[in-house]
Amino acid sequence: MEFIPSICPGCCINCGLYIVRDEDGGIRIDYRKSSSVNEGKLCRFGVELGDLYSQEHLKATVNGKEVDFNTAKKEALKRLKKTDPRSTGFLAMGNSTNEEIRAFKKLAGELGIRNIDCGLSKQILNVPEAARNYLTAGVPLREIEQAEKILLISFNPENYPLIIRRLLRAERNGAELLKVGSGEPYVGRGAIIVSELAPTSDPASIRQIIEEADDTATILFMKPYANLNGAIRLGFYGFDLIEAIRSDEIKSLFLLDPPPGYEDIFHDLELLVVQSDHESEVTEMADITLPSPRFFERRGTVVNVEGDVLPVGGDSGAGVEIPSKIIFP
Amino acid sequence: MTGQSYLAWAKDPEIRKRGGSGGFVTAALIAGIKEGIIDEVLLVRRIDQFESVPYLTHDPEEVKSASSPQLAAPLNLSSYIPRGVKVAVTTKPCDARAIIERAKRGRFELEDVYMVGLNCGGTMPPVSTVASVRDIFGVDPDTVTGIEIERGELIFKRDRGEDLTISIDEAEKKGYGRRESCKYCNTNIPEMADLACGNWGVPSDQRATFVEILSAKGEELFEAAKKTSMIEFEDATQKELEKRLKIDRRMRELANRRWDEVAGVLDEMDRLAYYINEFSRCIHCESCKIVCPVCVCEADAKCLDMGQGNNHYRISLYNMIRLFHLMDSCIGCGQCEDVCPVDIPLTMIHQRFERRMEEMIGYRPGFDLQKPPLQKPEEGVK
Ligand SMILES: Cc1cc2nc3c(=O)[nH]c(=O)nc-3n(C[C@H](O)[C@H](O)[C@H](O)COP(=O)(O)OP(=O)(O)OC[C@H]3O[C@@H](n4cnc5c(N)ncnc54)[C@H](O)[C@@H]3O)c2cc1C
Ligand code: SF4
Ligand code: SF4
Ligand code: SF4
Repeated sequence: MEFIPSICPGCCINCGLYIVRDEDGGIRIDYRKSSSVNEGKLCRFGVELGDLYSQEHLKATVNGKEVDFNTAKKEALKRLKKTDPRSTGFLAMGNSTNEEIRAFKKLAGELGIRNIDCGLSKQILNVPEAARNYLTAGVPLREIEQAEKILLISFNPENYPLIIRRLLRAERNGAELLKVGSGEPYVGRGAIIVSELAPTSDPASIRQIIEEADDTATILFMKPYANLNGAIRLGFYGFDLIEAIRSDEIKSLFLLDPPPGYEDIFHDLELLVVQSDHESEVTEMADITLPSPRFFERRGTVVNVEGDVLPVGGDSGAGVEIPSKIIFP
Repeated sequence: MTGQSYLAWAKDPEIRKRGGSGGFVTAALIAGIKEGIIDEVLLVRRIDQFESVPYLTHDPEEVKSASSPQLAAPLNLSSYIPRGVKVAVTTKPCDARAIIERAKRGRFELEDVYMVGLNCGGTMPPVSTVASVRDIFGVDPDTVTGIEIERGELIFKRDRGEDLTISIDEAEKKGYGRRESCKYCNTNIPEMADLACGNWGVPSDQRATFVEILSAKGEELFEAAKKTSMIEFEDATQKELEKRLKIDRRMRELANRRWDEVAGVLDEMDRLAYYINEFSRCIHCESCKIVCPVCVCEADAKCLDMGQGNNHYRISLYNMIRLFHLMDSCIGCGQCEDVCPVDIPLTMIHQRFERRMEEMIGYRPGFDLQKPPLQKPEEGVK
């Protein structure tokens, strides 16, 4: 029975938890009550994380056939080099550590590929560069409890259940809590504004939230994957890849740790290389798969909702080494 | 010897010094391993003052290094007991009660488990305890090396700088201190365990553990500690016995008063509306079921089956079924409330039902191997 302190990759809150390895090799989670951001509490995704980590580990494959890692890696480089950089993209939707994203970005640069995206380029590029720091500004969740006024703009707390108790406590402390729909008027003075920045968010309303907030307001953009804050801070954006894949503009893609929900867009690609830790519908359609360590096994960091840089808890650097080894064998 | 009480302490000065009281518990655990009475020890290992994890070991050195009470460790160890081995567990009353309930439900043989009981005045939530150091004293929590509650005072020990002290009442008025469920827990001496160890009754100028032997297994461990010369001891005097019971009585009174304050509020309100409202927040994460030590149902549990999040009942069926299942079995350990992501006061609600049942049917869960009456079919009834 080994307790490994780790964090949940389910969203930007990055709840603290333990990964427990039993004597029989089984993996399950346990509640880490000393974690400041969640005090041991988890949503259903976190509770079921043990099942995710117990899934079949991804194998190195080329054209659906299992190969050794070196063969897959060489083949990935060979095929990526053959593609036209203008129709090739690197997509990392924030399910990876800062270190992995940095290595991935570097590989894209070495290959001359400028189409990089964390799934939020459309929204980020619509915000003036000088104001982009608002997109990843961390807010201690305790501050929500003490707020006098909270505006939930186009935000459904049920998608981030760990926020619900903070809002409840704020209300008990006398806070004014208002739900604001997209395009509805509001007064943001002195408020904590909570909204969501997700690939499906309307770029215009993200920009509007930032533009209308004055110095007295605090903005918190919740994000649906583990480390979109890190991806944005590392500048992993620039091109709306999701739209470009849909319109066939992008024909080759290197996909790092894909989240579920986007399976339908990858079908018609000429080349799909996927680095991931588990088998999924997307890895099944990939031409080349490169296995990385399960999230909790990774040595690396993420930037959480409070703006803190948190260690993931593992000691494997393999996820960072894959992109590096592709270019520098 | 069962029923006897002693003041005992570890002969090894280091164990005695590090121990929460006199290091008796650590010495007895090591003796139990050395004498082959137990195969493993399940205890609480500190990561730092504010974080501890359950730990299973048979290494005397590891047992030694885990001594001292961890107050900011609201764990329940009963869920980590391995099957089929002789294991000694350091048990607060809620651990011991949970162990008995799990044994009833076939999780392990009670004969295999040696419950080294610790008196308990309460555990503290780690995060708010860290915050209390910063908020009340304006001090960096990293400088804290130990936490104690002594004579109503909450003390943060520090190697560098003075200790930080505040009365527990005052800390709790400010919203810090013990878990809510511990404030109204009225079982502070683990009388259902094999040994009950604590500092109540020990003269303030003496470094010793007050040990009450409660069963043959407790006797076995005490004898092992004697035989291996791990401990020294003397009979507890009448005065010491009385002092211990007096403090226990006082703690129980305070707990019952707190219970009346917390749960009594519901007497005045529309309780059905209250329950509907509280349970309406439930996101069906199932954490409260997973951590509940007295629930041993698996994935095919009725509460999970009938309590899907998308049902359209006015009240969460998941919680309703759990309430009915636990109303004769909830031991008030507080684990469910600790992990509920939407802050439903689950322990208070479960205890409101259980305490009432207790009054009605005279059955108290976690004290002996008697089966829960509501789950035991009446003779001859099919
Ligand atoms: C949370 C808590 C509250 C307590 N409150 C009181 C009280 O109000 N009055 C009183 O008389 N005594 C109380 N005690 C017991 C007392 O502090 C000593 O632990 C006891 O007297 C044994 O002392 P010792 O030196 O013999 O034990 P030690 O040699 O120090 O060994 C203690 C053992 O307990 C284990 N342990 C530490 N923390 C926990 C925990 N949270 N849960 C389960 N096991 C743990 C350790 O791993 C260690 O093995 C409390 C103990 C705890 C853990
Ligand atoms: S519920 Fe009771 S026995 Fe358990 S930790 Fe709290 S006070 Fe101690
Ligand atoms: S219902 Fe809650 S308080 Fe009662 S035994 Fe279960 S976890 Fe403990
Ligand atoms: S822990 Fe709370 S939210 Fe989760 S299932 Fe239990 S009552 Fe519902």
